[in-house]
Amino acid sequence: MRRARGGVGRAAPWALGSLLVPLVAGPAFGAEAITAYREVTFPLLGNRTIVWILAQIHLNFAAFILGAPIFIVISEWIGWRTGDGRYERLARELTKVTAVAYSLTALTGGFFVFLLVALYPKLSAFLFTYFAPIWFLLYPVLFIVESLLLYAYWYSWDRLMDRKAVHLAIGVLLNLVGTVTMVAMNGIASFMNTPVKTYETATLWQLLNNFTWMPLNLHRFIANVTFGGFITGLVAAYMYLATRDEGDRAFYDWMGFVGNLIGLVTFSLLAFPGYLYGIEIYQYDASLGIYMMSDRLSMFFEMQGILIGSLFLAGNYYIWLSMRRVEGAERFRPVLRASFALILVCNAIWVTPRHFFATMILEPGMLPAGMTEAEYLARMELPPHLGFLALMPAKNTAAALTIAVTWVNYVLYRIALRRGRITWGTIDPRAQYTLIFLAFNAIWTMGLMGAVRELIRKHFHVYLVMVDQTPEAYTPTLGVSSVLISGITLLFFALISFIVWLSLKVGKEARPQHA
Amino acid sequence: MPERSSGWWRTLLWTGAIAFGVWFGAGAVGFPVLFRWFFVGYVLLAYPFYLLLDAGPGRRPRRPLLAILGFFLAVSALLTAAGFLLPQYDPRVEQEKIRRLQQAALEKEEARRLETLRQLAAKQGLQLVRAGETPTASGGPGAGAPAGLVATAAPKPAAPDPKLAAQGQQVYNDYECYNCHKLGGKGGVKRRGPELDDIGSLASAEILRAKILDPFVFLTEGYEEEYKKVIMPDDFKDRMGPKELDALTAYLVSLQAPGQKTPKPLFRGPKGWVAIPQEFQRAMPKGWWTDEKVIARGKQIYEGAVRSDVTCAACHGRDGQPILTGARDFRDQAFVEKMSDPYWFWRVSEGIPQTAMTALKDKLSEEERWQVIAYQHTFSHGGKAEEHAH
Repeated sequence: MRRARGGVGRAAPWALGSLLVPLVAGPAFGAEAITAYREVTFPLLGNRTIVWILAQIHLNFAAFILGAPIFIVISEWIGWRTGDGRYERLARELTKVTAVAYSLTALTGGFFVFLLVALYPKLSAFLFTYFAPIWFLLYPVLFIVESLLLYAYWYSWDRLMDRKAVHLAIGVLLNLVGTVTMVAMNGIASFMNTPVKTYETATLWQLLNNFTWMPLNLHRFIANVTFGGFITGLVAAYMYLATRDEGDRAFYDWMGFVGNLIGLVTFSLLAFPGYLYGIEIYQYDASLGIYMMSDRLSMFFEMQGILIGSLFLAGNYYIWLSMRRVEGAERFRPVLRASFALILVCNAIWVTPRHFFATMILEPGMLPAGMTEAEYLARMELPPHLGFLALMPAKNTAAALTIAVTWVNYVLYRIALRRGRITWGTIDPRAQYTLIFLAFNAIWTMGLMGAVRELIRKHFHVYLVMVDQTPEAYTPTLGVSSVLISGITLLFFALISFIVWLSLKVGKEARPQHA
Repeated sequence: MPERSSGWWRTLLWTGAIAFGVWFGAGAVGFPVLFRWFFVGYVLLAYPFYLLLDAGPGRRPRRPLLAILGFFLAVSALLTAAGFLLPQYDPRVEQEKIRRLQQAALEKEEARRLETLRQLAAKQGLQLVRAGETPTASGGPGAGAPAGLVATAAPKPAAPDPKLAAQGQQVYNDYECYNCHKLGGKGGVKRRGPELDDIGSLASAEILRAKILDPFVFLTEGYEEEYKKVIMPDDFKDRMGPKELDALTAYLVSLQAPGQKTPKPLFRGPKGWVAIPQEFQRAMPKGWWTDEKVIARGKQIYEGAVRSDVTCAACHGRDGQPILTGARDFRDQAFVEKMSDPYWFWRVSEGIPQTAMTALKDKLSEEERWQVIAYQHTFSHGGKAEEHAH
């Protein structure tokens, strides 16, 4: 660490006076820095693993509570304008889930921060002092305001039934505050990867406005809506499978369709800010980009290709199953079958690696005994005339085609709906497993790419500014990471399933008993 | 919609035919065997998917909770297995690399502290010696000579130490130079930095060392855009320890493979970028641009007080205003600032063909040439000593 402003020696009581101090004094308040810390190791899992789990669980909840309200408000608005009660119900049920998920977001966030302070005190001190006004003032205030708005939005639903515009305004405000909160925290997260080089003398704005801040904002904003869409599909799938009521089944069938639509459409858009994000990383420091795409994290992107390919396949399979219950849609069947083949070809191009080893160059121990490097490379690497398949133009073309095919399939579905008749509530139960898979896949992908975003810094807590001197500073293998990501995804699923059960199933069953 | 659940054999036939075609097609265009298997595996994976498309309607689970739980576990197991099936690496290799990098950072910090101590000691008229060493009688190595003349004179290029060069290869890998540079055709795919196969024959050790620390020291032929965009990292001066720097320089100097494609380094000259013979690719010794003693000595040489057959002032004027038509005007700051150190050194050493500027390398020692360059530099700054900025 080149120079720490202030230190962790000062107390940080959560009193208003203390919150105002950073504004007046700037990040330099507090004089003495503690240089010695008691080293704490989290039992069994180790420091990095527990922070990884908590951060990811917190981010999963945060993504949901930030993404879902965006289309909740839109859904409520559509319901209000069209008079279609399903939109109103969708908005209402999802808000109920969001409200419960919100408290878990706060709890996991608090737990995460406590862990960070105890397990990584120097890093915490660095981030807390450099971004003091955000941690001590902006973030808590925004969080409190967001909480008030969320609960106001939820509890005023019936009261403001005749004043929908006011209710919607609260929802819009909730989204605005939520987005600002995310943008502020993204500034800190992006700073850790691409810190401004003159960080020691930089203003707070310069620290925030680093190379990857805006791409991260844009990427996360869209990804949160995607995530919310797929979780909506998940909620619908649970309820569809669990309900015995025909009316409810029809509603949850429709809700699942809407969730898949939101998820797929926004997911299609996600490729562009993702690409922009990558470009900014290369612009900041090409070695970070190369580490990500061609070196130790390259196989993480192979995995990403598999996940995204299967996500598009599943999303289109859902459309396929949806079309089965539309009368007169048989004629589109051959087109859809061919489209699956095209998606598979595109995905094969997407996942074709430059070479079948997980590093930029061969490392000690990789070369099999009795084989020269040239022989090994001839077996494991694309020959130069086919090397273009491993480059971005080929990958982008494949991605663009996959997206285009999905859009065409959806357009065909709309045409089929317009000309035929659909009976909601009659969809193949496999469609519900598809929705569950989509949600699972989206969460897994989010966990994977979150790991990439963190691991890209190599052995630095803050790239080239603060070295990670712990024994866990290395990049874990994809296998080890996969175990963790699967575990995190299962844990999140267990929690969100509990929330859905609590807020929709138990709530619904309890109401008639009291009536 | 009619189901075709009995058509599994037709799907299988199609899959087999496509797999067969992919295998031979991929072989025909030159894919290695592993890639061909990869593609065939992909086609085979499509088979169950197409079976699923044609399958009849599924049943509602009797126990949804158990069905969902089983589904979660199955998907988790599949994704985790995929994570393990893809190529892995040995994390110990990176751990060892991190250990080396952190050790180098410690050494660099230690060297920096030592230098600070030396400077403090020098200000007090003291000499810093290692335990067990005897202080020199008159104040340390080089005492008596003009400041820096002995200690900072650039070393002559020497054959690289093979052991040091081998360490340098490790440094090359640790700092991931291969990300942008190619050696033996291996390295970064995208064009970012030049091939280095024969760099040891084209660039001097001194200038290579300087280039690692400062990406602006020279431009590589054909890499004008990359130079402008500063693709070469500019933070190695902060990250690399002195031992690493020595080792990496030795490694680069050892890369001598004439005939292999390696673009030339180009240096700033009056009319743009020029190639300079390797032996003249030198830099002004540290601190000499502003060293009063060096400049005073340069003045003597410039005015012919040291050697009667070397009188720069005869053509360039005693105050830098040229007397001879065609001689450079050393007072022209814009012109002077364009020139790189190697360019000055080359021209003073070799002269300029078909002009009155004769070669001075046989008349002046290396130190004397740098001294006279340091002196003439003051003309462009109103007679004051200034660091040479490009």
